[in-house]
Amino acid sequence: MVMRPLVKVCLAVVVYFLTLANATAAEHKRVLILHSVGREFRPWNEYAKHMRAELDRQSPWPLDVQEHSLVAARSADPNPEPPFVDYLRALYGEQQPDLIIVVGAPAANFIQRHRKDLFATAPMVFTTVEQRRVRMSELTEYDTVVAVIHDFRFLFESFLRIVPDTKTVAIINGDSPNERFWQGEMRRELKPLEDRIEIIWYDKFSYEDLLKQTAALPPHSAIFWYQMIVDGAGVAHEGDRALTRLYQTANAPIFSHDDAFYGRETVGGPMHSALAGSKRAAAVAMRILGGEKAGDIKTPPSNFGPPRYDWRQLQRWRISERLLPPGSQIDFREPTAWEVYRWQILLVSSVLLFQALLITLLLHERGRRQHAEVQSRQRMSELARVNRFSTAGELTASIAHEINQPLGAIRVNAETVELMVKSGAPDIHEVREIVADIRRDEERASNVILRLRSLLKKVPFEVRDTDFNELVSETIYLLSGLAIGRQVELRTALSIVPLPVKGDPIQLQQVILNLIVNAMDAMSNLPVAERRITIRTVRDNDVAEVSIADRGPGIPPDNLKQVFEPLFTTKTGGMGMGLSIARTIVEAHRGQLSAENQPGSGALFRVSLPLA
Amino acid sequence: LPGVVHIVDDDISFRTAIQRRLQLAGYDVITYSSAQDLLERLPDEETPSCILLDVRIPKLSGPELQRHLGELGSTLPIVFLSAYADVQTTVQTIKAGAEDFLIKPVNSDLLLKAIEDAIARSEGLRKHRSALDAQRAQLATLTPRERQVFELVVRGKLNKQIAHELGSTERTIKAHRQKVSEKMKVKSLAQLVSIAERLGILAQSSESDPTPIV
Repeated sequence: MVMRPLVKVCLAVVVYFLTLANATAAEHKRVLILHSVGREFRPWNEYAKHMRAELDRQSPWPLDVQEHSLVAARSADPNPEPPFVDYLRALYGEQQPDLIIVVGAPAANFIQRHRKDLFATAPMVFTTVEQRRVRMSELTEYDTVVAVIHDFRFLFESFLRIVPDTKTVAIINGDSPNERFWQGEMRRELKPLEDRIEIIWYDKFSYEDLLKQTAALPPHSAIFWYQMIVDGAGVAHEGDRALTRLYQTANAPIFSHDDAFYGRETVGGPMHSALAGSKRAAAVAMRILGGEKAGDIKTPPSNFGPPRYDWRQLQRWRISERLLPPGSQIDFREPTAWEVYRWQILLVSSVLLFQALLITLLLHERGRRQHAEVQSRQRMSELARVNRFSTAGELTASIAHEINQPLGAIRVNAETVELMVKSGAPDIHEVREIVADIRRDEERASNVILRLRSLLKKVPFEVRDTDFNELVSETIYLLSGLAIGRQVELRTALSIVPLPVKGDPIQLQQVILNLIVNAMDAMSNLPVAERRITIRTVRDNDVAEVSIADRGPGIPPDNLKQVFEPLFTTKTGGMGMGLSIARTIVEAHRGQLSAENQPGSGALFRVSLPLA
Repeated sequence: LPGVVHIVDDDISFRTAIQRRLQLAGYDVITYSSAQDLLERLPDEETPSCILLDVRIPKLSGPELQRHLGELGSTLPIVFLSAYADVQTTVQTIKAGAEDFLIKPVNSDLLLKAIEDAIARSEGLRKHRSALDAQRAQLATLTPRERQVFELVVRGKLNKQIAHELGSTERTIKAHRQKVSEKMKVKSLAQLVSIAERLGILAQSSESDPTPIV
């Protein structure tokens, strides 16, 4: 009992829907679409698709669409036709469709032959057909035509305009009756172009052979794709596989007359538009379904649409866009990286720009720094040289001594030998000895001058491999005269192992010079016997070290930190530059200069340099 | 005039060159490499000789050696020879009695002249010194009484005064004076005064005598 109301409701719903169905059934328009060679064939598949879509879109009524394909169109064999006619009669004999849309020329021919038997009064729209393929004389008052015009010459000329150096055009067109018809039409229409281009036909070739031929076309060739329904070997080609394969192997650009072939393989140009054609046909269909008489509707045949070109193909075949006819549309332009990644690019480039700016700035700074470093080194060199001059001033007495000593000996020896020679019977052995002495003394004097000159000459900071021990003994030699004059004893303890360092020998020598002169100054108030400087070199791991110890009063602890500061001096005549310059030089050599007081008395200066 | 030249120079090369030249000129040469060396082997002052001394020598310098020698009573003339002369050192050494101050490199003639002069002076000094020694020896032969008379005579005392001072007679004093003149080998009072002066006798006891010389 509980079920009863539910059953009632269900019944009510079913009844309601049935009445609704009946009501709509009364308004249904029955449409028959007759295709020429099956829905999978290009270009008709595009037309079929658009046709269905346009019908559905434009129709105010529900449509009951039946579609049939005239498979027999692939061959000239008339045998399959009668059963197909019977079949259609069986289906539609009782109830004629409200409208028949005939797609393509083979279907148009077929239906014109059998119209009287099958659909005597059903209105018909012939579409997707070239006007030449409709027998106008046989049209009835129930027929209307929405045709197109193939203007092959215009098509070819359009192509020749964008690829002017084309010399050969290979035409792809099969061997079915429809294709044979068009070959004849093309031959006729293209005749005027014969002096410009050579045309190659493949209608008697198997498709495989055709592919081989078109893979090796001479330079400046092009391929015109008309259609390939049945090849020269009698093999039918469905779908768009034939065109795809041709595209994959061919060595020339392909153009075509219909945009159903457009979108991947063909370059483009003026083309029939499947969509526009279907729209026009569907519009006519709607007028007929709306009650207009088909025979009264006259639609002028449509020509090629405005030219469109596939950007990718233009790129591939290097066809300049400037050669395209005015008003051309370019499709499939691959978005540039800029269009796709605008923000990313903007971000990345701004980061890069910023970075570059930063790098430039840093480089600039670095350049400035380097310049400043060079300048400061130059200044240091100059100051060091001035300092050397002032040291040299202090050394004047000892240098004069060093030079005059050998000079004095030379003069006396020369005079002696002169006298001996004058005397008539010189002791040749002694003369030889004296001359040897003169030469030795001359060398000595020259050496002193050489050393002095190298100490004072203006040279840029120059890094050389030198032995620290040698440098120290050289400096001590230079100072020996001064040490005698100042009555200071110089004690040296040089390491037996060599101390290879990298540096400017003159500047390093100056450091030691300054430190020793400083030590002498520190002891000027000491009794002569106590004036002693101990110079020691040692090798400590990877460091060469020289220490200079005096026996003076040492450095007051408060001053230990300041002694290396410029203009700090405790001497009455001092400039306060000696130690400062010494430290600057040592640091420029990546070394260290330190001062300390010895446990007994006196100061100790230590120079350490990295070993080379 | 031959003589001995003592060369003090730490520079063997220069030392040898000078030695050669001086030997060629006829001098005897003794070389020393340092001041210390010379102090250890003090030169003989009795032969005519001089010292050729470098200013700058290690440890004890030339001027210091000069001072040491002075303290030791050496009278050897010193010729300084320096490769570099500052005014201060030059003045100091000359004031301290240096014979000459030469600059290296030195002209041989100049050097030889200086050496010659120095040796001549050395010779003069030596002669003077030996004369003095002879007079001292004569003085030593005087008896104490004669010495007393001598000292009073050279101070210009009259015989009568001397006799009164020494508690003797005028005649005895006269005899002593005679003896003194003989022993000191003088013929006049002036000569006697000169000797007393040279031997420093006048200076010695002038303070002990308040009597004015009239």
